[in-house]
Amino acid sequence: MSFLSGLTSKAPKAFTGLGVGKTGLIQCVRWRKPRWLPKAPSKIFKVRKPTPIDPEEDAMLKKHFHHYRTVVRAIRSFLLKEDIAKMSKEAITVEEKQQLAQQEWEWVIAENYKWNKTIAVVREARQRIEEAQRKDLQERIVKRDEEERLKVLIEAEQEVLREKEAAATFITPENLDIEIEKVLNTRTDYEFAITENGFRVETETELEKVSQNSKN
Amino acid sequence: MPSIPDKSTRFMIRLARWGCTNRPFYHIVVLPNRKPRNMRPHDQLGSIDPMTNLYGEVLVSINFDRLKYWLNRGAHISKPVEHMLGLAGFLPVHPTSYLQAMRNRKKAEQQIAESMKEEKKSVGGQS
Repeated sequence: MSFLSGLTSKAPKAFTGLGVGKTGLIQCVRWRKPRWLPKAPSKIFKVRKPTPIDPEEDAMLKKHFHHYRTVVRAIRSFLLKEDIAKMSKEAITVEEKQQLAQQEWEWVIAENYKWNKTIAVVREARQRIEEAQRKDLQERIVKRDEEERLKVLIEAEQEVLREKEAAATFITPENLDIEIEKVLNTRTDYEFAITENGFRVETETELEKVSQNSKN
Repeated sequence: MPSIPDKSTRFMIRLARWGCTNRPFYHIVVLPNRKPRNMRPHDQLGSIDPMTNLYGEVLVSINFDRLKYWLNRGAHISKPVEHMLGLAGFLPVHPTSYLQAMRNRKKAEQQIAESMKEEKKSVGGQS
């Protein structure tokens, strides 16, 4: 009944009602009753009948089992002895072990040296390429920086030139009064309409009105 | 007096059922006796496919080196594995195999006897 083990092993959950498990289909026999419940009154004097044993089969089994156990024991002891003998045969002294370890160590070192040699060729080739690439990149960066510096210089010179040209019209303490006079003398009339788009509207009627008002 | 339950642990060479519904497949595994059946085993010694193949064969694979190793470490063998190893010839044939054979033999003899009786009856009736 191993296939029921998953269903019947949940002891507290299965004890929901006497007789029927939670699944309904499968009756949980093992956990039907808690352990502390006494024997059912009708089963108090029940004695289990011993399983019937066929005397012929029993005799045969006894004979065979006796032989079987003896042989199996013998086989196992033989295997064990064989194993121990093998192990003792393979056993080596401490010096031999050290020698073997030393030999292995030397071999490992030699192998490592060989590997390093082969890898070095590849590595150096790769490093050469990387170095060339690095140099190229550096050169390009230097060139770009130089170009940028020159560009800035030219722009600055141009700026200076522009400022020099503009300096002719600068207002200085010497020509301050003249400039003020100039500004005062130039009057601008801002009384005009503009359209939604910001264009000036100077219709004749409006201009007339303006002039009439000023006369009055 | 309540009996003291045996809580001793030992390594068992036993079968772990894998496969699925209506399609059994077994691994021969080494596990302590109280561990779950399908736990990750300490060692797997082989497998058994109990369903016969196209040629009526039951395929079994066993790593005998590992089997010997575990036997030397004192592992116990479960009954089905003992049975199987007996048939394989590693161990002597298990007594239950002989028992099964005896029962089968008896059954066959009985059937033959019955069929003989029926034949006699039918022959007698016709004549």
